[in-house]
Amino acid sequence: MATEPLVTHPQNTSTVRVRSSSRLWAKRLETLIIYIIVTALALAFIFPLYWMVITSVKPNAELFIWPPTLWPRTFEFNHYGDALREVPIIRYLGNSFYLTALNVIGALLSCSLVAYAFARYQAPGSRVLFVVLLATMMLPHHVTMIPLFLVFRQLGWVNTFQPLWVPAFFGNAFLIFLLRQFFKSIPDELFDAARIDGASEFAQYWRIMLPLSKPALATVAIFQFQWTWNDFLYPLIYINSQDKKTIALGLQDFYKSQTTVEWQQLMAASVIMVLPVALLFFFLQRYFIEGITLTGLKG
Amino acid sequence: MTANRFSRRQFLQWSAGAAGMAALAACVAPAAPGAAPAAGGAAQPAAAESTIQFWSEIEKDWLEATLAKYQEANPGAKVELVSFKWGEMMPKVLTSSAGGTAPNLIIQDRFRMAGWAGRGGATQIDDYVMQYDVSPDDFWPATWAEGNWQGKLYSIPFNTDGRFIFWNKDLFSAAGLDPDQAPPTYDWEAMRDLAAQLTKSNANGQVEQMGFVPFEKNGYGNGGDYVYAWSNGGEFMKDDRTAWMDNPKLVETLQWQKDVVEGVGGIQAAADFSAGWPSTAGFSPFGAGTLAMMVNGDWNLSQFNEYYPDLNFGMAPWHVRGSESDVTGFAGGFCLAIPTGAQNLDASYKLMNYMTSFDTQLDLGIQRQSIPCLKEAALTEELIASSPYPELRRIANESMEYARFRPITPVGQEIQDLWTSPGTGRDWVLYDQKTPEQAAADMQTQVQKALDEFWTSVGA
Amino acid sequence: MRATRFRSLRSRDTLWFYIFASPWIIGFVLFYLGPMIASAYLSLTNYSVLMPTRFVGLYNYEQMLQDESLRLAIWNTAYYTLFAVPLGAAVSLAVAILLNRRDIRGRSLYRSAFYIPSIMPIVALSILWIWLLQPRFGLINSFLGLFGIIGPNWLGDPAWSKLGLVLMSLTGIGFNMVIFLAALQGVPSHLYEAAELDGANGWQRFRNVTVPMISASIFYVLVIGLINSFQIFTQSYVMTDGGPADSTLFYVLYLYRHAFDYFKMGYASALAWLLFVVIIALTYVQFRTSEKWVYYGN
Repeated sequence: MATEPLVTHPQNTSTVRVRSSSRLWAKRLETLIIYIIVTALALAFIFPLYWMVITSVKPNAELFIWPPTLWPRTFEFNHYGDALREVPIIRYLGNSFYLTALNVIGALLSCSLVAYAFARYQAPGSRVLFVVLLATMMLPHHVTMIPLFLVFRQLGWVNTFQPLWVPAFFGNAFLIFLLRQFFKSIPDELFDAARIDGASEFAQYWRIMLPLSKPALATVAIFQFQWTWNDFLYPLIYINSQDKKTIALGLQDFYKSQTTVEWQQLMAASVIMVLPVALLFFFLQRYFIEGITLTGLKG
Repeated sequence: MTANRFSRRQFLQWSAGAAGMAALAACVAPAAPGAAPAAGGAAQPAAAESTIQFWSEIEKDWLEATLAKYQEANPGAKVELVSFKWGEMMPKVLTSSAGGTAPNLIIQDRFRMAGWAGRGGATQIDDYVMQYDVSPDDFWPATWAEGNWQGKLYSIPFNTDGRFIFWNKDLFSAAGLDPDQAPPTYDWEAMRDLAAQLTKSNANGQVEQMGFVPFEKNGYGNGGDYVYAWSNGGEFMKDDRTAWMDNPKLVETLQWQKDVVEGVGGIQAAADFSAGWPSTAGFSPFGAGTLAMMVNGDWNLSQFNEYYPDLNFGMAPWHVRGSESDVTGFAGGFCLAIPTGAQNLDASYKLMNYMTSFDTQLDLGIQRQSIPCLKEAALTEELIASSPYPELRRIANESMEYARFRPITPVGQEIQDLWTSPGTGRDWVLYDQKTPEQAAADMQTQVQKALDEFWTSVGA
Repeated sequence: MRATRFRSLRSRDTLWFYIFASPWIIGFVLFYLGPMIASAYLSLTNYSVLMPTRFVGLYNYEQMLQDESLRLAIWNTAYYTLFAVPLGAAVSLAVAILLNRRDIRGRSLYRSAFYIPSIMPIVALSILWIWLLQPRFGLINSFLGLFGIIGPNWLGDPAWSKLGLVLMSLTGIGFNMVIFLAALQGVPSHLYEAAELDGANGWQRFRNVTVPMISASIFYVLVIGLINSFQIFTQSYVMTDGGPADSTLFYVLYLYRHAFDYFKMGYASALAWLLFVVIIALTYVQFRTSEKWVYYGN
């Protein structure tokens, strides 16, 4: 990896040849060192996934031995088939996809609107409301869980999917705060100019703010996806049938009893569960790399 | 600003993509909201009237198979099983009780019954006993007792498990001990010395082979803490309103636990040796052949057979301290109970009766190698013979005749947390934060306070 | 004339603020307000979920004053937060900056690698970390052993268990990394070029260009880090059960036990409101100090 061709910047060309070449070498050395550090760290971070995969193919005899085997002596791939056969993973994945899609749509629409309000307008009560917004993140949900359950029960939503996606269309404090921070960094002049050109408030939000906030919106999409995908507590509370379980809740099916756990199947199902999010991230992060053309606009 | 149109389209694309995913998923998942039956705010979970909700945090596969048989034999009956990981069900049960959408039947940890039913969480089922002519004597005494609170019955025992001393015969032989002789559990000083004798450390002072560590944590065993206390004549409650955590017998037990741990190298060495082992689910240093003795449940028999088939071990009841003839035991396990507010009691009763019938209980014992609460089933030769270790299975199942049970009190969970798992009170002693007397006194204060609050809150 | 125009602008702003904020305001009233008021009221009762509830005034709050375990839980939580939040922010910022370099090829793969652990289910992660932190055979102590250091019994020694969980929290830096990566995109490259022309070295460019330009995101990460870290629960619930010797008894774990194990939802609600007040006070301090160092581009 370290032998990849190095990028040189045109502005580095200097009139003094010797200095230029030594600077170039220093630059290359720096790049090399960075590669080594980043690769080592990346390997460390990918290790949990690796470990999950190898655990899912280990035989019983190798599951708990000290020191653990980093490369299984025997491979047993049947745990994937067993996991799929014993637990309706496909059904659970379908439920999770359905909920996640609705949550992501809801979060992108609602959070960007609300964050726009907090970032762009001063109004009587807006500061207080921002504090209230932050406050909703600070009360442990274990004590609001039962009152909230009563609300949804009143709506007749117990054992339906609604409690698990409808709230997403009303904004999420973490994501509103996140977007507000990004939105506030966008210079006011852009909007003033548009306003003079006669753009409506909504057009400013839709045509200026959203396009300039692609990295932040991609972040919102990823976070909301991940939270819904991994959420365990709310599906646990609201879902009363096996066939409405989400994948995160369905992982519990591998705990057969207090003293029996199908470790390898649990790990196999976990691998299946992680893949969609990993893929989503891989494809969405183009928006982080691509960047936005803020510089040009500002000039 | 030419990028705008393009970006907006991308924004829409994400949304469209997500919507497409939703549509796709909706096809995969017929349980989508549109298809879901409307609960309409009724006091019942979304289910047809004839369907009953049955929640359990144990025995998922066996229950599925058994309920399939039940529904086949009873064409009108519909049961929906919802299963959970052990320990995750209670928040859901409480929440649904608060909302009036409680399930019709649950499998509950028996020692939690007094705390749960005592606060009004469970439906009193004395009617059931009348209706189905159930005889309490058909069940193991300890398991039946735990279903009662203040003279009323709230649950029917389902399955149970005992606690025993296990020893590794190979390690005993290697140490020059008689491998067929059970450890002298009646003599606490001898046990302390034996634990030290069977412990071997390497040049770095790390324990390579552990003799015995008398507390429940990371593979050192399960439930022993209660067994030691009882074998020393220790009780946790004086009566329903008075805790007895500062019982001198309990202080002695704490001191002995500490002495044994000191003898094998101290708490840090013991924690180091056991680090990384799961606390349940099959694998243990005992099975791996590096722990010489432990107190643990009889479920280990089937697990040894599965995970450590070559293990050469013995298993025997724990003796009353100072008596070579008297033994003591521990009955854990689960029961069937009906949350308050559940509808359709008749259907729950019927299923309850099926679950505790001879055939079902026998099947449970054979398939799951768990001790049926119905005596007759537990003592059936067919069950005993189904075990990979029939002689030990017989000892385990017969031990239920004399096995004890955890204190029946609304503060049972507090006692469990302090005494056993996580064992806060015991840790105070083991980590030298408090003397056994001080620890016992502080436990007493905590438990008594919780108890007083309970009795105040029920207005008595 | 001017004043009218000003007022109309302000009222226009007010109108638009409430239009744009309306989804959240409606959602707040529907889904948050009721439960929050309910929990505040329940903190003044002996609510057990199951039994008839009685108003007990400030009894629960008085009890907290004498609660020895609560003091320990607060100490443990503060200790954890003090290490986990700054460390998590620093490491994730460092990684984001490295992964934002133009001279690194395959950045998408690298970024995914750093992000993956933060999306793994906690059960799988906790089993892994119990093993990574295992004193004798765990990878972390084996690594320390290369330098002749004998590592501690991370999760088994009360003196180290919280730091073991701090190490584990680094698994989740992917979350912050994503935020920083997005923020770094907003830093105009001409600022770096200008700084370079002025002879600024790498550290100076970081200190004087990067940090101010992404200060809004650093601030976000610190605020959210504090809020989340004070509510740490799952790791200790799944891995250590608060032990050994209550050394990982964190605030919300303690609250959880009261709510669902001891049937003392009233007391748990009081605990929640104390935590609420503490977090909001700390967040307020963060906001006040942020005025000195957070730059919003205007």
